[in-house]
Amino acid sequence: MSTNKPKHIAIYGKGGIGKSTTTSNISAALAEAGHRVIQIGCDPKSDSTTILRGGEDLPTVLDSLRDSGRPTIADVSAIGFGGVLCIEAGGPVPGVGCAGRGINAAVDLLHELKLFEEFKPDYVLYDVLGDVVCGGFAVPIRNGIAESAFVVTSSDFMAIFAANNLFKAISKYAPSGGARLGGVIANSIQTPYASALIDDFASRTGTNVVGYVPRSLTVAQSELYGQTVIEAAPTSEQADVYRQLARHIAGDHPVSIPKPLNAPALKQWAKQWGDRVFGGAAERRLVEVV
Amino acid sequence: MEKALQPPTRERRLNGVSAYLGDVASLIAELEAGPPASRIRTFSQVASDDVSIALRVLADVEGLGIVVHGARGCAGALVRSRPGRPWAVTNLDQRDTILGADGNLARTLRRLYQRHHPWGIVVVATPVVAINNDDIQAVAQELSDELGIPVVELRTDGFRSRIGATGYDIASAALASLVPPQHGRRRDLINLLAFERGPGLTAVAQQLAGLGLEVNLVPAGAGQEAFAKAAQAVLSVAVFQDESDVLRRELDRLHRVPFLHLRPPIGALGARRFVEAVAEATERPLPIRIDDRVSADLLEERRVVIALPPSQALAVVELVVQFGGRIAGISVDWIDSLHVEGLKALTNAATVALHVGAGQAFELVNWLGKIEPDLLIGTPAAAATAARARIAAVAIEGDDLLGAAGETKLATRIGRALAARQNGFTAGLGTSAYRAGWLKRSPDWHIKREVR
Repeated sequence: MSTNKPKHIAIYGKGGIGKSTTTSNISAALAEAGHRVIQIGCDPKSDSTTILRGGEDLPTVLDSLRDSGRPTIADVSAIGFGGVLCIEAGGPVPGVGCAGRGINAAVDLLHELKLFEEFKPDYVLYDVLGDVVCGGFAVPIRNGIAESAFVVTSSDFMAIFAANNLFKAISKYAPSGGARLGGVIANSIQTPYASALIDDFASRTGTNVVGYVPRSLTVAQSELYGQTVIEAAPTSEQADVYRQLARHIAGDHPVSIPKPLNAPALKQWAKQWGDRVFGGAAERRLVEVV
Repeated sequence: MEKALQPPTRERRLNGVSAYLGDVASLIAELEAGPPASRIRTFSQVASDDVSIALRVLADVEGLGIVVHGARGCAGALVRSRPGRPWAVTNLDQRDTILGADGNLARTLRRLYQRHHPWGIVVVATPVVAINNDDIQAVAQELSDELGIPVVELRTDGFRSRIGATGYDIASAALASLVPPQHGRRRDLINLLAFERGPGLTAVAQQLAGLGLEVNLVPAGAGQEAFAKAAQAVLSVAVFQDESDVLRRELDRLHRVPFLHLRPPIGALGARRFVEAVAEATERPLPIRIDDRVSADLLEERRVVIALPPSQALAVVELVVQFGGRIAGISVDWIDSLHVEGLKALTNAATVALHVGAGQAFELVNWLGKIEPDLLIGTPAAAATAARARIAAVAIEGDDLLGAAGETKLATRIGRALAARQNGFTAGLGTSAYRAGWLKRSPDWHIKREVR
């Protein structure tokens, strides 16, 4: 049982970019290293911790609110791989209610239930829905809940765009006690230019890349079995990539306040990378096709 | 039944202005040049919002059920409605906000109906619904079919508009949708649109009835029968167009009931003009002329500030001039394009000071201090503020001003206020609530123009 103050870390990124996979593998790697870990999924889809739990169903915190009950920690959590305590905030059915307010309420409820005092974790990882779509989704990086935030991105422009938006949120809240940026996690690295592009974006926004996660069939295969790579393929190179990321996050990593690009600057930057990767001829071909 | 369109805010629909300090001529020029500059208060005292005004309107309709879909505080404006009025609040809590509250709304509608059997129910949306986007329309449609009465949505939010009068518009759109279509037109029936009932309104209605017309008063005090008749009227007229603008438009749009634009029937002359215009429009003989105007030169060139709702204020200008006074300033809660003609009718527009602001007592005190009028004629709240600033003040409300009796009533109160001042009596309640340094500041230091 840990006696240290737990370290709260938020992991953000565009929807579908691999946040939950990355976060779950980091949680699994930390647990494998002997740490007590809580992973809290802050996404109405409620699928953050699936691969830590063998794909089993888990009642969400907001399910308990729906039933108007007074839940216990046991009602809204499950022990996953390596003893990771898995919690899903949940949300309303699509099309009604306010999911952002739901995240806020779920986090408040977990504090009321004295989750952290009872479980005494070393690490608490918040896996937060893609963009900062409203103030509710910014809860983990506000009010001193998480000390640092990591942003997962691929080299796709929309993922970079979302990352830049997240930088805006972090730079807004950091000066008043909100989380600072721990760095960028470059995910789904597949093309030859992907790492350089993400490095350049990080450099221009005053931050750095803390890990490069290659696109891997091992990940897809593990997920089909409802498992993390750490569990399904512990000796694979991909598992080592996640372990390395986990060590960085667990250590005393430097944090910063990012300097997001404004919209014209971001577009100009993207165009320069388009020219660099595809050449000016590519643009002309595109015009001809259109 | 055709669904009434959702009216836009007063700002958008009528270029409404909720904050202004300057002279009348400058604002006329601004309003005539296009959408006026958006002015924002960085500090505000207190003012009614569109939700509370909409609730006040609905509360005056006989036998109509009201369901406030929001947190219980959102129904605060109904607390002072008379006992027995059928209303309920869904009392939304955090759970409803996050997960949606369609079920809660349906349950509340059923309970209200079972207990009171209203002839129709209006579901009033609130800031909570504006955030969680509950589909009130779907529930209203379902319950309307189930209960066999009209259940309509009133989508207001309390923050879209800075002008509380937007609440009149939104309530009017909902109420207009409760008017059932009728075949045929009754040439002896007119709608008198009013949002406040009192002896003054009754007197105006009696004068119109004297023309041989049946006067259908809507919406204040109206019940199901009055709403059922509204579509048959030959025309609609309003005592104050500030409140009734959307209701008259909707009656025209939905039921082809035309509207006769008239100045408010304030004072003997105003009431006479009003009745004569209705007589002419309905092709009826003119009533016997009765001259009961107050002829005394009551004000003797005194400088007067009027602080009333806009159309009332502009109508009272005529009475002040008739009483021998000079208009020094006008203070209104808001102003919009409906009032441009009234403002232009002021003979000394360039020198008349204009203050636009609802519930901003500090601004009013400061502004009055700069104008130093001899008398203020205004709402009870404005009159109280002026009295504390040791300015002679007359408190009067819309219904008090209607008809010839309104003119007499106003003259009597002016006479009393001036006599009291002459006799050394001041209603000043101790020292000013504001420090001298505070009052030295410009009255509009906290009003900023929005940069576009």
